[in-house]
Amino acid sequence: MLIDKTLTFRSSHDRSRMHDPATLRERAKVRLVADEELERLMPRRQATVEITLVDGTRFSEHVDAVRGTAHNPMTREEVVANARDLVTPVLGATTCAGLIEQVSALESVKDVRELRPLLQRTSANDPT
Amino acid sequence: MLTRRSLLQRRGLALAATALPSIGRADAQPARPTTAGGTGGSVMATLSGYMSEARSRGLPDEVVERAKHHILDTLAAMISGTELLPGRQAIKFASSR
Repeated sequence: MLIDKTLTFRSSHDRSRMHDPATLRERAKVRLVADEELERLMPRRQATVEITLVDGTRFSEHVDAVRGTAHNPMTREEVVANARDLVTPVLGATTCAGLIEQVSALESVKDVRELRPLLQRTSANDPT
Repeated sequence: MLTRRSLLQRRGLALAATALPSIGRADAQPARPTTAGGTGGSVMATLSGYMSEARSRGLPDEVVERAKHHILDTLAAMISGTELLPGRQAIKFASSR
């Protein structure tokens, strides 16, 4: 995230990048600390992030609900952006846009089979 | 001719129309099993009316919107999962049948 300024499904599953020196350099600055108090709140997953800059300035942020859960829901724009990130590498931009459009107007879809061609990779939409 | 059942339904519908907004409120009275005709009876009628009306009642806009988010999110997760090992194995298994 620090390097790309965003986190994608693909980058978080990219094994070669987990060994990339640039990634490892940033990773060395991060320490994961277990906190029993937060543990007790499970199944609500909460976290506290503390950042100390080189000059000693400290920032702290507590997140009491994961973004995209019922207590901290995403907006439609965020859900769509997330879907685009996940679907485009598999089905290509055109099919992905079609899928988002169909689901956004789902009540006007007469037959659910219309979604079928938008869910599967074919020789026509293969982005690779 | 009005049967007891249809009478109850009508009564339920009318009650449902006025009582619905309070459903789910923290201060709403919990349903208590009492003798017919008491408070429990009217709660049952309200609930029955609400349920029988559900077939024709449209979903609130907010629910429709949120449902679309969940459907899109689920489909996106399924599609992205096809490229991971478990997804690839499942597709291989399915196509070998």
